[in-house]
Amino acid sequence: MTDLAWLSIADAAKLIESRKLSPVELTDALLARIDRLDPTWHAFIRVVHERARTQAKVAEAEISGGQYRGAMHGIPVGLKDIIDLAGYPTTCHSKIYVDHTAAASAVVTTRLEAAGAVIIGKLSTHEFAIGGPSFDLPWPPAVNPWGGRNFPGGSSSGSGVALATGMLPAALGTDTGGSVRNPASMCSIVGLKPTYGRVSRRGVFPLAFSLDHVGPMTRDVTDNALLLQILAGHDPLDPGSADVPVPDFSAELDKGAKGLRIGLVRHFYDGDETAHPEQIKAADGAADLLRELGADVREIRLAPLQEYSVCNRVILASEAFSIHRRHFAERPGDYGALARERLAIGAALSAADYVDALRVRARLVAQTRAAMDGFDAILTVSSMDPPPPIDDAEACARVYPRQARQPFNVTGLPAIAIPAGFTPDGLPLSIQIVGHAWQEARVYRIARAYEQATGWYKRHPPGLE
Amino acid sequence: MEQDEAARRAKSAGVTRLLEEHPQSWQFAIKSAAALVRALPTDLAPAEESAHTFHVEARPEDKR
Repeated sequence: MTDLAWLSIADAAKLIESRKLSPVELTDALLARIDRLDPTWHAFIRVVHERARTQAKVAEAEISGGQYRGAMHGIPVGLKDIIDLAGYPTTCHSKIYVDHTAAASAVVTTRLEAAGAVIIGKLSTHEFAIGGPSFDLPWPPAVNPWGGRNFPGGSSSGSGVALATGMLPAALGTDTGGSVRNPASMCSIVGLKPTYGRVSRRGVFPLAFSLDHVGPMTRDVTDNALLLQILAGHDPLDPGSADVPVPDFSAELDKGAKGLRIGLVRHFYDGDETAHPEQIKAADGAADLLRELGADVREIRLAPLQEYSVCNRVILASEAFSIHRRHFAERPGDYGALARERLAIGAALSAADYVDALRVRARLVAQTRAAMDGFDAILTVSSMDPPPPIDDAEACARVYPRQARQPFNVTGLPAIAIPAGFTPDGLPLSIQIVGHAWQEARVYRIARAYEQATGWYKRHPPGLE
Repeated sequence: MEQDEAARRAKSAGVTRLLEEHPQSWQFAIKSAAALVRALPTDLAPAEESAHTFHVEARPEDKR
């Protein structure tokens, strides 16, 4: 039997469907691994052992009875702990919500359970998806196993770490300024921010309504498409949800990159910002490789990265403060220092600043759409730097904002971060592929072509293989 | 920024406890917000609308 810790969703599904692998065996193996490894890596806030075993037994009975539900049936999944699981606390990794029990499950949780997935537990995050990495909270921050004890990115930090350590094959994250793609980049896994409105956010604690996305996190692109297939769909009770058809996200996976037109946004990482030399080499190398695979890759220009960044940050801070202002007025000391500082920015902005940022957003959306006209997708970096040591607060603060993810929260376009190699010191590098709205299948196609050609996704952190 | 001005802003934003108990957090926020505002484009034309436009839902009888 393949090592269960590193089994992909697709491979596990084949084994489960053919009854060569029991969901109970898979769940028990991962629970045992979590119990052994998590005291070191802190990916979890809470593991729901008995609930997971019960769900796995139900899945096993259903499959034995001929009621196989599809690729996620019997597959263990973790939820970032701002996503509701009925009857359990949604702590948001914060003292403020330490006893906040969810009355109902989030729509995404319900969709996973309807597909037969086994919920394993709630995963670490930056406090309220904004303040981290922090050491002044009720739980320690998740730690990235690549390169020792490094920063795993955030805010979906536990999701990234659980995947990178082989504790889970699938997890959900959320992305408001890059929080699915940042841990994907830092932990050498795959994270997609879908098109805004593709996945319901109902039952997910908000950070900033107009920028929030729920996204699938996996170890390879094929699995990511399988997971998105379960999550996607219109929710009339989520004001941001779009009533658009849900296509087969795996339909184009094996079509390769030949004939596709890809715009390389090089000025984001070698102009507007200057990325780490190894990261520049990885992104330029990805462009060359996609050319070799038959894509037409040409450099294009978008608005300066800083324009997207400031637009994202003003909107995020303003909307987030509106959500937190009551707790902020009454219990500011119960927030960790980083969340307190970052949330307070919204209190210091004016209504006119917020509206100006929204007007800039409309302009950036139009400019981006025009620049992408005639192209199937964009290629650029995700993070500018490999992960720094998590104990080095100064390095984390420096690296955190050096990224090219915010443009695609501002524009709502689907964007995936995938592994793109390692520095000579063994630290993860990544690239980002961005598509037109609702074109996640095309994004997956390009990502899969690159992934297959390079095989970076097959590597696991030293000592955890 | 003058302490009086910081206090006035904190009161206006409803975060006086933050200023009293965590003045460093508030000073950080004020500096960060000022930097963001300075970085916002200033060439917006009057007709450039917000990305979030108010829409009035049509009633079924209004639809043809």
